[in-house]
Amino acid sequence: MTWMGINTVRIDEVLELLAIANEKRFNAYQVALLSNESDIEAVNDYLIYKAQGRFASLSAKIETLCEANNHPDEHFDIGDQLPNYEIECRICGDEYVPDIDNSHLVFYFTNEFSEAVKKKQLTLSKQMVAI
Amino acid sequence: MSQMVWLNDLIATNKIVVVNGGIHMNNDNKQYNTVNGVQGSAFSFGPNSTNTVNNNQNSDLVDLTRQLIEILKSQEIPTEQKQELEEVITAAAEEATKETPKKAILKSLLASVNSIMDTINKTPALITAYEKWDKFIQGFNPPPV
Repeated sequence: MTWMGINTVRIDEVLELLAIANEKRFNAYQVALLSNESDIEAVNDYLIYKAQGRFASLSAKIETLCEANNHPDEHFDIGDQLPNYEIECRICGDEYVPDIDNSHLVFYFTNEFSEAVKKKQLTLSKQMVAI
Repeated sequence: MSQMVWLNDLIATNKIVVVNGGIHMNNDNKQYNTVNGVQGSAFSFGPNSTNTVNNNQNSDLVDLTRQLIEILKSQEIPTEQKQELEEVITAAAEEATKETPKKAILKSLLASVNSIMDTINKTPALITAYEKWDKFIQGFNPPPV
């Protein structure tokens, strides 16, 4: 199915492959690259769509980068406020105040989606063995 | 992850909105969000169905809340009341848009908004914005069993 110029079926397949590979965190650039899509904004819109509602398969998070080295650091849920006090980068120990201008959007799989995909993979494997 | 989807780009393109410091999705991805052709509305099916709220409502509520707060800020009322009202309106909107809003908390917050509203001088613009917001947020309450 192609909507808004992106192949959402292919993207869904890529997401399943990432979940099977136990990829924990990803963004629209990675998914677009793996699904041969060039419209990053449309892919990001689609991922955002999949991260909303009761049946969401993804979880969107805001990831802050530390000021000194731009290390990917803390994650915050959508709806949260970024702290207005200093936090310590878990990688380099830099103390910085999280800034919207130095934060980006990442996605995680929900536990339900990860488990469902792995269960599906296991069932397929068993069927292959049976054949 | 060398290439990143920056938050300020998403804010600039109105994909994300910041309301009172909280970062929220502004879901304008309605092209993906079609259920039997129904967009941005409540829908139900089956004899024992309960109303399922389409998540586009969340972004609509965020917009209505933002409008209400903007109008509230322009009112000539004591700052303390203004801040109190802003806090309780935001808290109600946040509770309503949770996956599983707590009815009792939401009801209490809406009652607080209503009681503060009763005590202040309201312009027609504020009355209209409040009535629209209140009617909309009431829609997030599941129907009584």
